[in-house]
Amino acid sequence: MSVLVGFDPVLWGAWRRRDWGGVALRVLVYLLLVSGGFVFALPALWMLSTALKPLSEVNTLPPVWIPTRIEWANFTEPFQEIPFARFYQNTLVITLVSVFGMLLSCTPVAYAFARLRFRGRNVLFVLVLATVMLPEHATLVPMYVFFANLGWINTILPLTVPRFFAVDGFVVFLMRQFFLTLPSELDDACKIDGGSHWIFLTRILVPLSMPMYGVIFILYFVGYWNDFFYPLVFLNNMENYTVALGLRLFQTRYFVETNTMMAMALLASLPTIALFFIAQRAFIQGIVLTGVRR
Amino acid sequence: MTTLSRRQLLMGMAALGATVAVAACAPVTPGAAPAQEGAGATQEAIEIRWNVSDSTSVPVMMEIAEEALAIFQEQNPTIRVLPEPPPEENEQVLTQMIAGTAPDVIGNCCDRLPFWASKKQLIALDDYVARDMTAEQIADYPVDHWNSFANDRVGRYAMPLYMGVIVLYYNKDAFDAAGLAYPDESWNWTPDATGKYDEAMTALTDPAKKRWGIALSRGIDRLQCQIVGNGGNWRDPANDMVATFDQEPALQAMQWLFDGTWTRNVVIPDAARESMGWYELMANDRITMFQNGDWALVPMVETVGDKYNWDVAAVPQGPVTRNTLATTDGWVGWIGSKQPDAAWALMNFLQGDEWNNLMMSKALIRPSRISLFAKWVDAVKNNNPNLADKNLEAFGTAAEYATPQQYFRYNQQAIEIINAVMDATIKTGETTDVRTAVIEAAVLVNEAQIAAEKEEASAGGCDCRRVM
Repeated sequence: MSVLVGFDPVLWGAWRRRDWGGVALRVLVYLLLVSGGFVFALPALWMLSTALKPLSEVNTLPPVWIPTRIEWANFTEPFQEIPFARFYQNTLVITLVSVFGMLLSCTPVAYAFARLRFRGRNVLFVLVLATVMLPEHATLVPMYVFFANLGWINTILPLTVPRFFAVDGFVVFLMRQFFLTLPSELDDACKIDGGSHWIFLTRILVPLSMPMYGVIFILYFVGYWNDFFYPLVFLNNMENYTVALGLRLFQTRYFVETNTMMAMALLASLPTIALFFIAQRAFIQGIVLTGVRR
Repeated sequence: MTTLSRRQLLMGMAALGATVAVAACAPVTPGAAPAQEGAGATQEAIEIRWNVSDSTSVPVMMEIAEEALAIFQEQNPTIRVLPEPPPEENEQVLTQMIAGTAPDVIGNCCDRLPFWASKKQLIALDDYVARDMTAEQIADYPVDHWNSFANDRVGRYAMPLYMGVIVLYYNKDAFDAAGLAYPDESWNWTPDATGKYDEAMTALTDPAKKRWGIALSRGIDRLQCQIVGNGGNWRDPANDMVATFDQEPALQAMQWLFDGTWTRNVVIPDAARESMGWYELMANDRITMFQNGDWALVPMVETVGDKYNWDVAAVPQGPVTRNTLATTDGWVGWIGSKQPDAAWALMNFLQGDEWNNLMMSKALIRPSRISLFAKWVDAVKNNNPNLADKNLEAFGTAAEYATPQQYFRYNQQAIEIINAVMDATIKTGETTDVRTAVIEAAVLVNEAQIAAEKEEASAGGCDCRRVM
């Protein structure tokens, strides 16, 4: 109790005032929050528990939370049987290149919609927004045929190259909206000093928009890292597999190696968990800014 | 240093985009005709893709694939094989076939293989087999199993991948506790549920413990074993367009399963499984027996652990005969392969000792060749000490009476109808008049076969039999 009281100034204040009702209310709030947090943490705890279990304790009645023996082999054996390290490397390359390509290509497009005046601007912008509304399954087959004709199937190219063509209308929209919040006087000042659009974009607008870039980086890093669908469609050879695809290898027609799969899923989620803790302020800001979590 | 203007940047990007678009507009070549040149026509290394099977642990299969390919490469220095994990779903393979990007050799199963063959997606293997396999080699496969990869309509479309057979897994400790003798050759079932098998199911069922005697699949392939065991057939053996599951032996078999589930309450219904698979049901003592193949051995060892003793036995004798399922997993070559000869070379290699030895010792799954059955028992016992005391010979004897699934010519159409009836009757117990429901389903299946044939004829017919 004394720890809690010292931790929370509001609780400390109520404690000093001997406002027992206030203290009780505050403690109740904490209890509710901790309970809620525990409920949300349960799947992760179950993943951790399962990752450390022998298979004979995975699906038991009643459930076993603490394994009778820790099965560290769940973490080591998959690396001997399949190139899981390679999957990590592939995922990292695809994720970083994709995020970089997307930020690079969407920036000038968003800039044009936010700062330039040209005929048909609004129509084009509506078209860009329309691509967000289009279900991705509707574009999947033409996209597959397109890349198959380019000979790109079973390479990482379909997963990375399109990102350099500003294909994500949502990012364009997000960037445009952010650029619009920056005062137009900046444009005028740059023009007076003889700066081109390019100079204005790269030297002024982008540096001022770093919080927004941080948010997009985090959201899309997590999204691309966890992406299962598109790697599944475009990658065949295990050498090119991503972590998300690698996880399904523990599932066969008749049997699922749940404990090994959970161990690898735990390792797979470490980078995104680490990123969250490093940049949780930007992550939460991203949810506030966009209203969505990708 | 020159700076890049915005206009130059945009023009450059537009040019790049246009180039990509033009390149992508090249003619589509799905299902392209196989190249005439064989593997021996050129000394340059050729490359083929090999989609390995998910018949057992995929990481293990990928591991032994790499080992096997080192041997294959020595024997076929001009062929480079790229192994790939099995697809997420079988629709993925079909999509790849249509898009022209399917692997050259594919490991897959069941009625998908004749279906793909009838859609002209598989390499015809008759001429390859006639050219490269001796009569002695062919005689090394159980006849029904070998014949299950060919039919009159499309010829030979696949080579055996392995031969799983279904046996009875049982909890020895539960038998001991109930004072029952373990299953043996004398075990049988009867339509009126008076066989030893039936009696054991009843004796081992304990509602207080939420324990059922057995889990039995309502899957068509497993149900067929009961029907054949009772002297019937799933479909007419002489005509793959005609259902015979509406005849008395089949009706009795299905009624037996329905009664076991919903009247005698000795077969666990799906709704009582609590999302558990058979292994988990066994491990948690919710059931004491289930029927499954050799692929279940390792999962049983790992899932049950040391909770109790278990073993396997032959499936019980039916009223007329003993019957069990022989799996129909096979290797097929895709018709769009640019290197059909190399694809065949790999498929032929996968019938050889090198591959089968690896499959037996590491994946513990049983080859299709009769000459390797006894060796498989030794390989499994030597490589997994937990299985050393199991009655693995039951799998060997099962091969003598195992038969493959009987497919309809247009099996997909039949399955949709049959599954709906099985769901309504055996799975959920909502429809209690099994006989009427099944008889009506047989009429619908026969009509669906005729309709599918007419539809095929109106589309130009099926020129299904392909030549090399």
